[in-house]
Amino acid sequence: MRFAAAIIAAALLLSGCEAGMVQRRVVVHALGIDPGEDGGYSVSYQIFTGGSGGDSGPVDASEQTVITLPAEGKTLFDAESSLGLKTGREVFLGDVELIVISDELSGRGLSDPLQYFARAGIYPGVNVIFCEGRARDIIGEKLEQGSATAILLKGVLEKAIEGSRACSSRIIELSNALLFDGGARAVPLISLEKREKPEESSSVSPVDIKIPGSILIGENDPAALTEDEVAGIRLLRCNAEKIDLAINTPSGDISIGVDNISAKRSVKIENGSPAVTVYIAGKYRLESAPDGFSEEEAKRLAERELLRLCGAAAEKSRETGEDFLDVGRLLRKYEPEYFNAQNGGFSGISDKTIFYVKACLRKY
Amino acid sequence: MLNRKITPGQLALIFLLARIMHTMLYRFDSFASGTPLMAGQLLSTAAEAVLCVPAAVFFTKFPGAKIFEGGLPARAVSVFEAAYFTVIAGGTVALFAEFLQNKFSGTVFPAAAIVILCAAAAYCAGGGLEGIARAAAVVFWLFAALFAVTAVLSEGKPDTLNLLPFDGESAKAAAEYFVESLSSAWWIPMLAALSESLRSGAAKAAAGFLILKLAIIETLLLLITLILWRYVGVLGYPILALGAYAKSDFVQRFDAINMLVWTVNCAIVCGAYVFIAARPFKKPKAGAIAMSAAAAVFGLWQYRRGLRFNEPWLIAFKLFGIFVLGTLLPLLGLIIRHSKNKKEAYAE
Repeated sequence: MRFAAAIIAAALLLSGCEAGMVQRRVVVHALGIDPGEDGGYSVSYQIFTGGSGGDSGPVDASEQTVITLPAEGKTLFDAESSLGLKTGREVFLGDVELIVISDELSGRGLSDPLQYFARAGIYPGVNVIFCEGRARDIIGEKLEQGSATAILLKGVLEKAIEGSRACSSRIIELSNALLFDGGARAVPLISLEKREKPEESSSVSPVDIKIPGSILIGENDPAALTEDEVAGIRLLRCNAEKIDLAINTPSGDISIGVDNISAKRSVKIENGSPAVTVYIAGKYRLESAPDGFSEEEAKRLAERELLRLCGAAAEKSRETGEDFLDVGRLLRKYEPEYFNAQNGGFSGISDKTIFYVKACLRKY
Repeated sequence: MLNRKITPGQLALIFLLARIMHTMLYRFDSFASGTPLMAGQLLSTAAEAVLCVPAAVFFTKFPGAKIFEGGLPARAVSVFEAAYFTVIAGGTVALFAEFLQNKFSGTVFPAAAIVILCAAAAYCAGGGLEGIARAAAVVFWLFAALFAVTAVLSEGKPDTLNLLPFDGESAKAAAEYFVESLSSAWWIPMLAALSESLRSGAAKAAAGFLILKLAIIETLLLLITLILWRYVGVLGYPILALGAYAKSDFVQRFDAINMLVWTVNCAIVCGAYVFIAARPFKKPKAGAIAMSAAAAVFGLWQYRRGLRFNEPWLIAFKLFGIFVLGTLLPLLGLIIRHSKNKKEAYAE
């Protein structure tokens, strides 16, 4: 055992990072990617300036210790090298929490950025989102909530994903769908709206963060997706867990929370076309409603609303011809003969697909 | 060198660590994952179970015996065995150095890593097989703990649509993986070489290893298929890829703990290879130093040439060693002993 103990002791002593090593690195917290000159990229790096929460505490990510540095390059790798030259330090991307890409770049697709993210050592669970306008403005924005913008944006995005108003867009998920399988994905779109700061309340932030919809990235040109269509995608792909519904009725507006959603889907070939059957089950809770509104009516309206959302997503799928509902993958697994007969792979499948959806909710 | 005997469980753990080391260094270049690989692994395990039968039967029937009692055949076998395991040890440290260079570029000098690991392997081999076996047990449990922590912390969501049905193309991929997996079954010649140091139960060691290996590797392949899918090809190394998709940043130095266990495992496994390679030497410690030096030279050459584990000639060499040292010679030993016993029975 002595030799094992000696090796373990030596490795323990040698494996730690020295303080100087951290100072020689540019620790990037978020990336903002905008179009650059001549078809290149202009990248904004939100970085730590070296603040820490003490010897044993986590790194302090408050806005006081975060700055944004820009760098340009023909490729994203060039931009990274340019930042390294500019700062004289090694650019470390292992701590990136969020990647924001300007919607002006959506036409170029995500193949190049995704390949770069994978090889740059960025954590595969990091979400990639589009933004309205310039990503630099969003990454460099100073908010008053006391945290770096990336953390707030990430929080907002996570809430939207949890509420089925945005799809998860992790690097690994996008790469598998867009680079390897040939499907399409809805990438959330974020927007920052500045407004006049109310004089009487200094604690209110002058910035609104919104996720107004998503951008569909696939084989064809990008397309805009509404919140409803995204919710429908989540339901039809069976990965929605909860959803809040706001429904207008003649007697007034009602709010219904649907929770514990579980969905199952199957596929078969009907008259030469794929037919996908989706069963959605869940529990509903009437959050607010005009006086005297019956639970039974709320249930009926909620089920109808879920079907409407699914219909919106299916219609969008037919309209764009993109397989963001994973019908191709379903066919590849359960109807391989039909899938292999479609020489185009995933393209062209969504136009022919028929959806049968049944929603059944129970009271919470 | 100590000559105390080890148990079948200890021997199975040495085999298992050697296989885990190989899996850790296995690179997914072809973005391959899914059911073909799982089928290939199943077939390979079945083939290994058949190929190990002669060695398992021989050493179960004649515990502690040698296949050839002496003379030229015994010397020729031990020389080939020494050369074979020197190549395996050198290849392992070369691939480990390549792994370090790929993933920790700029922080590691690969040639130094090869030399240091070979020196550590010489030290392990010089301590004897019992020491290696005891250290292997500790490292195995550390591995199990790391594997469990990684699984718990994994952020990946299993996607069953990745489990595709088997078709013609899958069969081709499964056949390729079968050959690659079978060529990494040098535990069979290890069984033939190390069973002399086994108290008894060579068949138990082989069976225990095969069951554990099948469970561990198939679980790993299933997780890769369900969670990482083709992305495993981007990250390259499968165990690293699974670890990389786990939110472990709250554990300070989690990556360093991983690297520590992997480095210790590399030293221990190579120690076992060098231990076998040094057997022809009369002075075991001097033999261990000489053979680990030879492994370092081969490792440096392999690293400089950029040779991969799946070079056709290396696969052929490894398969040849597995068939000859692991199956053919124990079978020959069994036949010789059987005919000898018959002759003795007739004589009586």
